[in-house]
Amino acid sequence: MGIAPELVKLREGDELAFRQLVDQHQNRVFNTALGLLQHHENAQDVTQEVFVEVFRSISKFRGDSTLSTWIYRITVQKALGHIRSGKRLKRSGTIFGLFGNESQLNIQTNQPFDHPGIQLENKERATILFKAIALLPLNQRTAFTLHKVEGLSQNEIAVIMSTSVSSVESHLVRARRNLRELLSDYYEQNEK
Amino acid sequence: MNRKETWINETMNALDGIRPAASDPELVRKLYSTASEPHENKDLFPRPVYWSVAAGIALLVTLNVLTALHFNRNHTNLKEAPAAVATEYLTYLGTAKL
Repeated sequence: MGIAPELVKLREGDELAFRQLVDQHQNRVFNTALGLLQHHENAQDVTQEVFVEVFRSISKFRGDSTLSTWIYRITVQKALGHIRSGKRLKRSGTIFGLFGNESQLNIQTNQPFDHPGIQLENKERATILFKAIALLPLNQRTAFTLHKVEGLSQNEIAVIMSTSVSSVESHLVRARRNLRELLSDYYEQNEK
Repeated sequence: MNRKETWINETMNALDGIRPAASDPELVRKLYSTASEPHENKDLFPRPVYWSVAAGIALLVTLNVLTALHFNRNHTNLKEAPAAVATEYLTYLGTAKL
């Protein structure tokens, strides 16, 4: 199987090919980053970092997966790196540490995340759900977000997360169970 | 199903029908400009060349330092040598008289 002509152009540094790549993937990259980071400006930063990385390392892309999957994988890695390094906390001024018990959904973020693609009637509940998602371990958070926000299949998520389908299934089951527990606590404290 | 379970289920399904967020045109402009940046900022030589040059300079500095230290040690020995020879000679003379 030969290398796709688009890929050859990208490797040659063809600027037009890069622009087409941006056009094709920028929305998905931005939305994946936004779903994972729950922060608009940070999602924009990560989107830029992703494309810089793509441009710099396109020669290393061996075609083992589709270009789209490869870009998705870089996006997830960058977004998780961002979460780990705590950039989001620095920027928004959110201090999770103040609220001690993270198993309880009682975080009070200064700027609750309001995803622009949520239907109006779901806005309030989605904000609460996003807060709960942010408390999940990173693997569960990634799998759940890619599944629910990006609408990816378990197979696609497995490829992106470089893991098995059964592992993704397990992450999703645990994510749902943990989210239900967190929401249950929240309900007891606020909605009752 | 009680009220709490209903609320949890509804909240769990709050992301149903979510639409992709439209990215900012300014972001797209930045991404386009990013596309041209890597070529402008491309390294003049391959990375291994830079490492080889750095290793060469480090080796040169190390050899210079070692040479300097060696020279100093020999120089010190030369300063001490006449005194040692004189002492040895005087000792010899003393022995010869006897």
